[in-house]
Amino acid sequence: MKVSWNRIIGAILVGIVLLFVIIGVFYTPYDPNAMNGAAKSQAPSLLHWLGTDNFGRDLLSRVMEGSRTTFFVAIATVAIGGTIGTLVGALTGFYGGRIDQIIMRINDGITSFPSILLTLVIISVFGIGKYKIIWALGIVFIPSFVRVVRSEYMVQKEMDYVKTAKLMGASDVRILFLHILPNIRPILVSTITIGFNNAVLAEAGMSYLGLGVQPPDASLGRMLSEAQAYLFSAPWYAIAPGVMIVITVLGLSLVNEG
Amino acid sequence: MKYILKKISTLIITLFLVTIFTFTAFQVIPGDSVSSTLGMDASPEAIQALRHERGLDDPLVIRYGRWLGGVLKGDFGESTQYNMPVWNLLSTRLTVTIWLAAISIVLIFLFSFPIGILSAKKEDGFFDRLMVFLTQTFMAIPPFFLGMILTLVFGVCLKWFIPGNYVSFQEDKGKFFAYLIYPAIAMAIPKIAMTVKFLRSSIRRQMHFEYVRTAKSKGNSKRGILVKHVLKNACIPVITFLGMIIADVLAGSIIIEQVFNLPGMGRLLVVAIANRDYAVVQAVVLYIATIVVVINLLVDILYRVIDPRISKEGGAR
Repeated sequence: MKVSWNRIIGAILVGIVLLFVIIGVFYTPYDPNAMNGAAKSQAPSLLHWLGTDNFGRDLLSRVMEGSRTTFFVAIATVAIGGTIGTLVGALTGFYGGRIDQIIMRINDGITSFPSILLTLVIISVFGIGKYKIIWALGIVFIPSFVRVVRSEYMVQKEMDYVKTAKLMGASDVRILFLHILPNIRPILVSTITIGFNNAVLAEAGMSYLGLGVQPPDASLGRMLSEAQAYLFSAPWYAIAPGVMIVITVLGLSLVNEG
Repeated sequence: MKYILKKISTLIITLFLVTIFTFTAFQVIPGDSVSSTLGMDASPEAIQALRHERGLDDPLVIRYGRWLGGVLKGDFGESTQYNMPVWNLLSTRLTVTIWLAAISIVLIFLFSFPIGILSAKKEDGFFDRLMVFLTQTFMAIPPFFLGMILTLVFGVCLKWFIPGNYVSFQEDKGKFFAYLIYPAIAMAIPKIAMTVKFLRSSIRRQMHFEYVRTAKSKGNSKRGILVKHVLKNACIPVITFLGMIIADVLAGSIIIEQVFNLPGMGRLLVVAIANRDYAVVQAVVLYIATIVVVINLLVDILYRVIDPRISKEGGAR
């Protein structure tokens, strides 16, 4: 990995975000859901660093909590999409043949439709909620993993080390997951990073529409959706979660691409 | 010609599969429009009667055939939340979404090409590096958050427009476009960033080919090579990419409409999902999907017109 200024900036941003979320697990300045009638919609101050919302809830605490929910959704999404996608991609890329052709046709068909539309269809079938959005996004994320992993396996299976392993009598399962998988790790890590970023943005979008995480749970998208009505009287309400999303996604993509 | 016919037949098959998908997806859900009309404590007899009246107790294939027959005639059924034909709901909202997407796409074309070319012209120059950083930054901003920032800056601080004060196309065309420009910008900026990034790397890849060196050794200026040779080649993958961007913009308007309070297809879809109004959901999904499939077809054809090297058998990708 080449060290560039972009990577360094990205690493610093990711570091800040991680520190912020980890502190949030153990300590938040206030209870994220505690309402305070005496401190409604206050601008950032020494008492409330990022201000308060329309219920007097401390925004710093809520952003900490909300980031955790958003990251949980994003990680679970990538775990579902990544596991199934990698499995399908590995098998189709390695074995090829008729089934591979059919699956790739379906895969290409699905990816030609905008992912927002697909997510919305699945949500309207599954229903609304935190765990339902995880499954919906997880399914939508499968094809991108299949595509990347499959093309890698197609290249790797022709390589000498795979042929040697075969001659030595290694089983297919062993070759697939103990020999080839570690070799495609750099590309897999990069795909997972991009997937995580897209999942953060997708969670924000769906929760913003009111179709993802439901109150009283805080998530970054949910907070933005609630902040919309107070854009005039309390603009800091929207800025806090929004900037958090931007820092996260920007930091990771800078580290990833340099 | 044979190629185009083949492509069109693929398009029809794809659309057919899309109709099957959109129809059956909503059949697996427990409960149907009857339970939402009659409420939780309706008698089983009443439910059965209404189910029969609406034809919901027929087999799946018959219901699909009936629905598809209607769709082909422009009849998407009845919305359960508005109690009116879905088509009436769609027609006015379509104008908003199509115009919004169109303005956004024009902006993407206008800005991404000059910026991308300028950025690639001086590899790793100051402008290039600045653009790399800016494209990464703008790609990290969710469009709806960008929309909120635009509302804050241009609506609340500068007072260039009144947030939420949408004027319909029929009422006043000038005011309609003056309002639509802000959501269009919010959608366009992240996509401009993506296109610039793609175009830049596409040009840079071309710059390292042999033919560029040959042209250089023949005494052509860098500018001449860029304009006459490189751009032509670099634009071919960009066309496919732009096809994808157009589809994304169309789908992206679903969220942006919410930010700017626009009565478009997206708003209709989101409200319909929340209220389980499946006839509307099916119609909107089918509409957007059709546009996406048609755009893909146009991109494929355009591809062949621009680059005759692409062989008959699917060498396009």
